[in-house]
Amino acid sequence: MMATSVGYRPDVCGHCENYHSPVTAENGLSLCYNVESDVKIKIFLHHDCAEAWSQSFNIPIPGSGVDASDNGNAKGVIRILIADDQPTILKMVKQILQAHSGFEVVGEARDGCQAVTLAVALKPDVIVLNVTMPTMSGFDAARLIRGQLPDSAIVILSSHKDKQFIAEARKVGARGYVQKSDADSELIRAINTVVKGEEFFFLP
Amino acid sequence: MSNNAEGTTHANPETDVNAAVPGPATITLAGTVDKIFPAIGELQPEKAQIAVEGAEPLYREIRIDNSLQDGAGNAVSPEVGAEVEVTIEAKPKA
Repeated sequence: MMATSVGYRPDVCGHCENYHSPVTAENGLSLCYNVESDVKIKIFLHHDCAEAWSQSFNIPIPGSGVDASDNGNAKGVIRILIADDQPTILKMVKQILQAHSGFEVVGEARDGCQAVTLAVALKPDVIVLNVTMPTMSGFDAARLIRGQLPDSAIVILSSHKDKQFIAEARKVGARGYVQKSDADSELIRAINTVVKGEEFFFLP
Repeated sequence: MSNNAEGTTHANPETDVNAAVPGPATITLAGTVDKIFPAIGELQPEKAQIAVEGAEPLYREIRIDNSLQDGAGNAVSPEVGAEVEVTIEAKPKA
């Protein structure tokens, strides 16, 4: 296969400096990609909500002889999108999840708007949403994601202990609710539960 | 009362005329609204996150209801980038 490259928005992505031929952006999302080998391409995603944000992941190239077994899903890996406006919380959650061999963090969002856009683009198995975020709350984001991705499970990860928040989480279609103070011990359990189609609303 | 170079204000018993009756010790720090969080139905009103200058990096943000009142009693909701002052007041010991 001949190596090709396509790029977009070189102004916001150092990876794209040598690329050309813009790719159509939808919902504020733009991307560029570069064929690294005959079997995979790497895609860099950007969103208008984010500053210098990018996410890379590998996908099989159609017609290259690589089948779905090259994807995380087929290997039994649970693909997870996480959303929180606090970088330190994002980092902590990512560390908790990456310590588990069966999980792969495929995207990180900094607000509700970005969470919806990335969820639609990445179609993760699980979306972990904070509640209080700029531009759009986690509950509103969950409602929109639920409408577009009914097969993706949503877990609310919040500092709120109020039962009304848990009730609202159920109302917007979340399958799980974990308090941030319990994330270390309960988030893994929550994700393993919701991907089976069950509910996990943890109340210590 | 005296002001130092960092904008700190506190009671000075050696120079203030009214120092015999000490008032509350205060400190006023500059801050900037760096995030606005939309209201969540009736569960939570709109919130503003304020980054306080001079505070330690991991502990410089506070979140408050984004509903202030101006001098005339009108409701004011600062936007991202608005400059504010954060005053901390310690009540005198009884």
